[in-house]
Amino acid sequence: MEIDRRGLFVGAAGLAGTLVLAGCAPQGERTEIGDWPTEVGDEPVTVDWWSAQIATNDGGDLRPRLIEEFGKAYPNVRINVVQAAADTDTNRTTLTTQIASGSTSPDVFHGDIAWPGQFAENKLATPLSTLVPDDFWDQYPEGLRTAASVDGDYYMFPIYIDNSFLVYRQDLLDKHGLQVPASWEEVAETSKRLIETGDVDYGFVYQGNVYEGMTCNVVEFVADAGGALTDEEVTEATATSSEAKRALEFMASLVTDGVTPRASLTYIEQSSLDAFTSGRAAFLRNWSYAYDTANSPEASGVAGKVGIRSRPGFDGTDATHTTIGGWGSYVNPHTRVPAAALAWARWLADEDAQQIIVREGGVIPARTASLTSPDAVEAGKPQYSIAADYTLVPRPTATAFYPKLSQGIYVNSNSIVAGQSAVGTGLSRMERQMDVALAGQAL
Amino acid sequence: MGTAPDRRAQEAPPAPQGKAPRGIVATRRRSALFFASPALLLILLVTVFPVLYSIVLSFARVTIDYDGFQIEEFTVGNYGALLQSTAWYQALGFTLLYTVVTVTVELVLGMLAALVLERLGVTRGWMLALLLVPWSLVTIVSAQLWRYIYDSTYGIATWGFQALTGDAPVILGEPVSAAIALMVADIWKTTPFVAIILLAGLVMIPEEHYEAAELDGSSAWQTFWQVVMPQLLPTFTIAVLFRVLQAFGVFDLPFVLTQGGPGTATQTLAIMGYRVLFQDINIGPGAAIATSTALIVGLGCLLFLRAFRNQARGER
Amino acid sequence: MSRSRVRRGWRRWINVVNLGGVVIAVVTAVPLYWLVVNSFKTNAEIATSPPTLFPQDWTFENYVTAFVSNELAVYMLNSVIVAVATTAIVLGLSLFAGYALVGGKLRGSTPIMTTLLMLSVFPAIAVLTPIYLIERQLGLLNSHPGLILPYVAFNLPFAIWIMRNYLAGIPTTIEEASEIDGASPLRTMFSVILPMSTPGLFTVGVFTFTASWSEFLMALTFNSETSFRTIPVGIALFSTEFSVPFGAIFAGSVSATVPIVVLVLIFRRSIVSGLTSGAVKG
Repeated sequence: MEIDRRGLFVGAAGLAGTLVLAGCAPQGERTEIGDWPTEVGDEPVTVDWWSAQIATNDGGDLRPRLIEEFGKAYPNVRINVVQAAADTDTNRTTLTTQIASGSTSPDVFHGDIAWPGQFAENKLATPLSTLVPDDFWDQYPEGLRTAASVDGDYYMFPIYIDNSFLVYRQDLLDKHGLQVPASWEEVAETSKRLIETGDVDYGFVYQGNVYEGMTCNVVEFVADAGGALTDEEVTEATATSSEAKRALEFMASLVTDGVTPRASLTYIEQSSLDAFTSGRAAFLRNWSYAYDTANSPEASGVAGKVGIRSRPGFDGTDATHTTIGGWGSYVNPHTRVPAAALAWARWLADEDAQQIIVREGGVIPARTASLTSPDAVEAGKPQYSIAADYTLVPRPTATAFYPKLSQGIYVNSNSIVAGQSAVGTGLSRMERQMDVALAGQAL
Repeated sequence: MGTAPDRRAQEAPPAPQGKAPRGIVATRRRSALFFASPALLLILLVTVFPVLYSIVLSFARVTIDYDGFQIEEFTVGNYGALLQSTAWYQALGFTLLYTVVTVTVELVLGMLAALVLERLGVTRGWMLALLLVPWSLVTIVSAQLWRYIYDSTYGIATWGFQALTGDAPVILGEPVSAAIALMVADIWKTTPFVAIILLAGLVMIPEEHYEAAELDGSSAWQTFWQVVMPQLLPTFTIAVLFRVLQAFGVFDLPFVLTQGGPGTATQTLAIMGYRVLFQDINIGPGAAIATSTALIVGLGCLLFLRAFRNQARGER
Repeated sequence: MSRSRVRRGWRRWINVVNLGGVVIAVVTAVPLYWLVVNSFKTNAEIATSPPTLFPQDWTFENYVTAFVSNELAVYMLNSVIVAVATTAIVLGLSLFAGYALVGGKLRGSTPIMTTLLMLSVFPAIAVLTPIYLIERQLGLLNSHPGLILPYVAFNLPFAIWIMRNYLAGIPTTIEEASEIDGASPLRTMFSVILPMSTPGLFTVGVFTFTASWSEFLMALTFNSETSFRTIPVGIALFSTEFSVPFGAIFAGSVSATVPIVVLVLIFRRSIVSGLTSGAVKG
């Protein structure tokens, strides 16, 4: 039977090919960490930079400006921009496929601040600690250092971070003679009053959907209560602590008291912002872009009526907490241009680039000194002055299993806040699921 | 399913110009081999290796190293993990539900549409052109359009509901409504595909059969079931087969519209596979999900073909 | 051939068929209308609630964004090249293979058809990485053939099934007559089989074209360079981290769809006759 024989042959060849390629090392030599060159020579060299847009003050793209400035310091290095998607998951898909297959391109990639745990474990990024002086990392806030490192080794050069803020309808507060709330309890009170007046439908809205954004909010509230959802090394879940309980009880009470609408449990960033800019909500917790958008006449129905402050704490506490969003540079371990790639990634995190971000960018620079520099004061963005006083709380990302850990957090907290589970049982379930995830057993 | 003798091979033509019938069969086979090889070889070369690779990985504990995918050890643990995972059963259940509902609705609506199209006169060309438009939309874009329609703040569907019932539903926020919304979007986009396939089959039915039925005094309903469907069965079978294959593996639409949400309520097997492979970077279980999905739908198709073997072969 | 009988009087216009046609047209067209209309609204108006049924401020800014700040024209060109090439190759290969696999000519045609089915069933997400591996070794990344080859391979099974189904309906007598006349198999194919397989070819053509046009994951992973990017990936890149610019997305997709619609309208008679030419029977 001709066909059967041929089929068998092809099948066998395919199987052989599979096994060969599966164990086959990708071509090209990888630079070992111990031998990583740090001196960029004089020959022309091209660095492929996988990145999404970095916003300028007026919604443009800051990257050409950054590249131009870099060219003055390293004239022989050309940066080739490979456009990346702006969302984390699509990016991770492509990057994982490429780098796990040993691709030498891109040399430097723009990645989410939540990736170090995963990327370190799967050897998708280069450990950087030995490639720069020890005190290089001191220029960043402590929370950011925690986020960028795994087991003490750094994997990411931060570029810009994102903090969350509380934006509110200044005009309504003025109209009814109310003060800007100084604590969460006051936010709840003021919201109830404003809803009663009929000027707004909702009090306080945030991103409560069953997704990563909910984890951010929960981590923040738990930090406000003085606790954390995992231990410091992210090896064990502490979701049933009294602080976590207090935080979740408060979030659930916001819904039962009518301060936060049930719709907020389906909001992501865009929908929560829409609720605010359409005038339906009085208070909004969102990232730094939200304030700019809410005040822009083309995009918002409440432009010019918006105030901003840090997320408050609970009554009687002083510290204000925000979790850390943002993006940074990772270096591909398989890059063919190790010195130039390192130089570019490092330059973006260093003073020159950070000052450009302060002056012309629409994002918050990662470097502490830049955030408080004269340029920052001159830029006059309220986000900068607030950010300088914030206590940064990283999400528990220093684990290879962060997505599943986060899923345990957001699924259960959404269910608690929506009233579908009691706080006690919900948190026990959350802790169980988080522990399963940390053991690498979650599916 | 062996090589059962069929009508064609049995009809040996009269020996022309001294050529024996056996010679013709041999020529046919040689030329058939020649005709079929390019396609078959291409498919085998491009798809066999990736598929085998995935299957091998699904039976292994895989880590990623600087040297790429490393098989630490061979194990059936990935499949064991699946069988113990509620998320997998949930995804399987939802995928089955999704497939059954969308394919059934599309077949019914597609059949009706094909019947209408067949009888249209001058306007048929325009109608066909109109029907091709949703189908020619990039799937991602169609999903974004429906996302805009279902949006809880400014979606027209939300406002329509509010106008009708006074309640403003968050369509994509509740599991049931999100699932229905997903199916509606799929049905809108894919029914034209079914309608066109069925139409092409419909027009092959000779006029006389209809006339005979009319003379017999059959009603439209009877004519449909006794004249149309029997002859349409081969085409119908193909439409069902491939729609089921597509629906079972649906990815683009839920990826953009619901991301498998809220939570994991609309998580299909393909979305779960994507999540495990690329979000959790868990290669072994991800490959196991893909392989088991292929196995399940493959077995289903085999059973289906066995039941409808004659129709699927195109014999009458 | 239309089966419409000539009706008299009001039944000429108001009858079940025409009503059904109207319903189909409306249900199909309403979301399309929404797509087109919103591409001409400003971003602020797109986000108003309640939504406006007709733009209050017409604007072309979304189209400008799509073409100027993003390179939609390049993406369209790439999509066209890839989709047309894929469709042409699939049509050619599936015609021959489908003909070859009609019962009786080849032993083992049923197992082959079944295997084809099994292969086409494997989820694309899982084969993404192995295919990437191969293409990297072969240097096919960021190229047109790098997409065309997998697209052809994954669309062929369905195409072969469809063609086989249609070709099986061709009476053997015609084929044999050609053989008796001494025509070579190739000649038989081109002069006899090909003209009769138009419904199948049209179905396969339309299906393959739309599948290649829409494919996202492989295009995203294999062709990351701007010069080789395709439309689905390009449109996905319009979105920023926290917002989805519906206006630009709709404008981009209208621009990408209009050429197809125009072509279909121009050739609608041929498409209709192509799809229904199987009616010349009995």
